[in-house]
Amino acid sequence: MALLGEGSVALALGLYVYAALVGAWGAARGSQRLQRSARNALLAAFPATAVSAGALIAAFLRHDFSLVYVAQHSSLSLPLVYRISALWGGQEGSLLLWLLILSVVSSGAVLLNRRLLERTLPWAVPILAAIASFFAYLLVFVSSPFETQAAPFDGAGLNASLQNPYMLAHPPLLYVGYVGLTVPFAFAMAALLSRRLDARWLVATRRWTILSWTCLGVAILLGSKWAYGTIGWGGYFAWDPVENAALLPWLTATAYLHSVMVQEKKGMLRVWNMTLVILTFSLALFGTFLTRSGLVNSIHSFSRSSIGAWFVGFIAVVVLASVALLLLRLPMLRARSPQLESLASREAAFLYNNLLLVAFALTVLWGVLFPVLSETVRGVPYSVGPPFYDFFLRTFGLPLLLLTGIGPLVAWRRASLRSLRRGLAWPAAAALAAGATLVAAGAGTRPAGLAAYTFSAFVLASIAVEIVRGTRARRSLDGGSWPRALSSLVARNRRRYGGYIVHAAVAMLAIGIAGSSLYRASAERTMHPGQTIAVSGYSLKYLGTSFRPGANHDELRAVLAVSHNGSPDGLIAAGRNHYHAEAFFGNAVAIKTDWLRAEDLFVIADTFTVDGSVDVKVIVNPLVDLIWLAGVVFLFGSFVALWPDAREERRLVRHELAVRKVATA
Amino acid sequence: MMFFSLLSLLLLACATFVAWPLIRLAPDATAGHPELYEALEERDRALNALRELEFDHRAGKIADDDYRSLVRTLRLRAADALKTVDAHA
Repeated sequence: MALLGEGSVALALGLYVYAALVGAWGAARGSQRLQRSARNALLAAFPATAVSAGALIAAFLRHDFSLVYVAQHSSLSLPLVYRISALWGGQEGSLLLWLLILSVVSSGAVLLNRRLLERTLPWAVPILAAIASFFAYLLVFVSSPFETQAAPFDGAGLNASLQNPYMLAHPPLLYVGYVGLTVPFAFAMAALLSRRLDARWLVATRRWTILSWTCLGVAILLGSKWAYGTIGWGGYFAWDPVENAALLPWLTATAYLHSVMVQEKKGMLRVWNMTLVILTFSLALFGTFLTRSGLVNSIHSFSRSSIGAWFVGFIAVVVLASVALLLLRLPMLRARSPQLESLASREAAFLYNNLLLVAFALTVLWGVLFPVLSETVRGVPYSVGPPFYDFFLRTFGLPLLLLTGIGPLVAWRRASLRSLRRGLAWPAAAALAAGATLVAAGAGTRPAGLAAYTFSAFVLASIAVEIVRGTRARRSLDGGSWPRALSSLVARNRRRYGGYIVHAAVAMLAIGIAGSSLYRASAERTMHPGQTIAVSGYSLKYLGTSFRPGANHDELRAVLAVSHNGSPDGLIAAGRNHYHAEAFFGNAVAIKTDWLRAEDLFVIADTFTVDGSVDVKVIVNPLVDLIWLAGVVFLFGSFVALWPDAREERRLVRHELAVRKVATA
Repeated sequence: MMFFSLLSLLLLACATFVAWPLIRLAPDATAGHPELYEALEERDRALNALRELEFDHRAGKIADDDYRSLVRTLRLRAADALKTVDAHA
């Protein structure tokens, strides 16, 4: 198994290096034979990588502890599903997963764009291959998952934190997000190298960017849900450096997805979009580096390793080479960019949104890097905590939320004061009414929370107004019924209306974050059986402990009877799990969800003593479930935006046919 | 032995696939016309802008005065773009 796995990943490395070198040579010389051969090498690397990953999964399934990686990350008692997810339980397997996803994404992007981007593709192939070569090299020479040893009787097991259903999806989705961002980067660099700076590469890579951005967003939310239910401190996002590392490329990719529309519509922001693509890909690499290097203290410290120096070198090469190329092509890019017509226009709103998103991303990056720089330069360890991030989240996040509502109501090119006033009237009235109601209900004690609620109401109202006005306009142009006009409205611009659904998700997210972080209530005490703890209308009576032994782990629980506003509301059991093979104790929090109020009763039980007492902490998290619901809405909106646009594809094919006709005339 | 045979088979298949374009005659490249792509895109952008303007006007986002001045500019731009496409084609 080790021979097959190691041999096939070495074969993949050979194919990637060939595709990078021969592809670059073929593109520079204009030789179609070399270009096609390089393209085939890139495509052939996919089955080679897949065989390698398959060999490692097979080793996990067969308990082949002669592989060091398998012995370190699984055990005989590990459930089947976690034996598969153990593939990404450690550094070497994660790198292999990265390479596998990159091989799928590269092959897909090359095959789907082989006709559309016939002139840019020859340069995209060697760039994709060069990036893949780096990861294949690490797997073959630096950090192989196929190292062998004399097989022990049992393995060390998988980190208990990773034995969670959310961990089946969170890391792969995160990697799809990171890796998918390679596609826009590779095609952007290929456009610069081939001097084909028209918008075709943007159109061709748009869906890849949206897909990666969606996966990254969902992965961040799944990671938050995992942290919420597993780490057990009552929160879901602790501004941990590795969490931040995933947020960084998501923020810049969000900026890019907005600014790219300005380039498509008006041919503006060409340099800015290239800069965002480079920044986003570099941050995706930085995220992978941060997760894998153990550079900073993090809840992800299970993945510490020594490949940090390789990543730093690679990121430096990527940044230097891409910035140098961008500078080289700057005159060409600038020559074709028209100017902004008005500061009150849709494109200007996108620009403000971009500046806020990038400023927030750079602030978060500074918060991640500062402790490392402080220790390196001054020798003094320094940690940047949640207050720093929370302050900047409010500083940049609230204006961004407001812009999310304003942007869709502003026309492209130029908006007069009168039309702006007319467009904003209804959403502003709805927001003010919501704000006044909330103040009357007592939410005014937290100004940031009140602002978040009010702005979110403004966003939701502006989406409703925009859809109503759009449907009315469509109906006046095409005639027909209201439902037909609405369906035609969405079908004609799926990206725009998918984007509005995502905006609604952002508003729900803002309400959920504000509610759960600013209006939460908690209480804690050491309890003996029969005692009661009360918080925010909930009362919990400690009944006693329960113990359940299992094959993989034992469960110790404190059982509490819940009543809400005086009415009985069932039992809840929180406690600790003991994982045998891993010799690890993990929290098992209890969460009772009131879906109608989107509120959670969150219970942590710790320090069980022989006299039957236990330390209990009870937290009431208002509106927290809107965060998870926002994830579902976000996913739906992304799907609407991702849905292929046949008219767009026909338009590009018509261009290609027109050019061919001229070429053969 | 089985794994070695599998690996050899994979190697052979990949090598054949990679070498195939080198040993067979590749078709001629289509001559590139980046300026025509640019012209076609500019034409589409101008026509789309006109459609968007009409839609935004109907939706009440653009005042009548702004609409009249913008539609004139955009029509001229679309006409220029169409002329450029014709010149290249």
